[in-house]
Amino acid sequence: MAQHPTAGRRTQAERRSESEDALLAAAAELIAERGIVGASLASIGERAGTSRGLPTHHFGSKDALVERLAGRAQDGIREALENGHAASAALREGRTALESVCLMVDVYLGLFEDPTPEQRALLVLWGSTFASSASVEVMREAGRRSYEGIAELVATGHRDGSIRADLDPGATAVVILGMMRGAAALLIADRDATDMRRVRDSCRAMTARALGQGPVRVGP
Amino acid sequence: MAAGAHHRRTQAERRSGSEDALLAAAAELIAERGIDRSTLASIGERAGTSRGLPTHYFGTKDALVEQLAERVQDEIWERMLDVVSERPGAPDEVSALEFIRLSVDTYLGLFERPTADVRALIVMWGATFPAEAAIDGMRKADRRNYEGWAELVAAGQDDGSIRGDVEPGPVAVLLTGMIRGIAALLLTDSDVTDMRRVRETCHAWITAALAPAT
Repeated sequence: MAQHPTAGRRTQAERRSESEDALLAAAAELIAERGIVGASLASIGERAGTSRGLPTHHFGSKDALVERLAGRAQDGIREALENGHAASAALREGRTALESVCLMVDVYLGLFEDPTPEQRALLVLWGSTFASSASVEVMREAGRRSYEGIAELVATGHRDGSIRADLDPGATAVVILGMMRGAAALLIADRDATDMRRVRDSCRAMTARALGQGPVRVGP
Repeated sequence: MAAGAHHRRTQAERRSGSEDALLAAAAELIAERGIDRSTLASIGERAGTSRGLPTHYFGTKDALVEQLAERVQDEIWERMLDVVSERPGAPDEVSALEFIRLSVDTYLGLFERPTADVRALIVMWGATFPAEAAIDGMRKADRRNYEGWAELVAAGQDDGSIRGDVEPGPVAVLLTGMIRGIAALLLTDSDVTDMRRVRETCHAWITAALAPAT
């Protein structure tokens, strides 16, 4: 098969993955704009410039599409956080766990100063799971991964001495994750209520004081 | 008029009785299904009134959401004030920082066994995340809510319980985000951690973040 004259022509798998990308990008846009209920499978196909039936054909159901989108958006945010860490030259060497936590808070809130549709869609998806009859499985998995990552970072901070020993890693992770997501959501919901930059600075500085044992470097 | 008033409810009372019933029904439906799936007609039905009454009363769903959000926020603030006044010692001896800590703790305590009202508040908040969400009522209620927290932070700077170099406005957003974010995490995944520890951690977090450096 590999010797076939398909060089220069896209394989079926490539075409499939390209249309999947287009559909997920369209879904992210529509969900970021209108919410889940307002984004029908047909309207997603239309926005992607494909047929209105393609999303159903491709994903089967809206739940399946939303699950794919949530996973992809979560991966994107994790990657952005890692890049933010790598780009922070001043702290690259010998960074303490506390400095990593502060940097994570800062980079995360920075993403929401000008979020991509996918990033905003992830918060919208989270927001749509609060009703008691909503299905929460998709977001629960994503939430647990973030939670475990932060709890691990806090435990590392206990070992390197940068984070107060009396803070429970699991409970601290819930507080930090709640603050990050909550502040990001308030900021995207009402851009004019307050100055984004100052909220971001306050979150970073207060996290540094709350978790630290004394004066710390908190600058980017 | 005076003679009949003992037995007959005034128009204002009747109005407020049905308004309460409608808002309670709205909270239930919104807590269960979200805003999009709670129509004004279904709210009337759940309240046991006519399907048209919510429209007659509130005009639009957005106006109903604003009223409900305000009512729940007021209930929460009242609960916080109760907790402060139940505390031993004179209420005016409570520093603004202590008030904030007690309020945050009370707020989080409400989500250990959430009523329809407090769950609905978080659901309505979630509905403001889409860019084109037309939920100005919730935004208006939130701005007033920020003002309450910002005033508390400023009062703490006056009474010396809160450090002078924090900004009341951004801290108000941070505190609101933190307690709502934690509440939402608990509503969607209550097994993730021990609530008592989360409340203790918030207490320690706020103290270390806001108290003046010693």
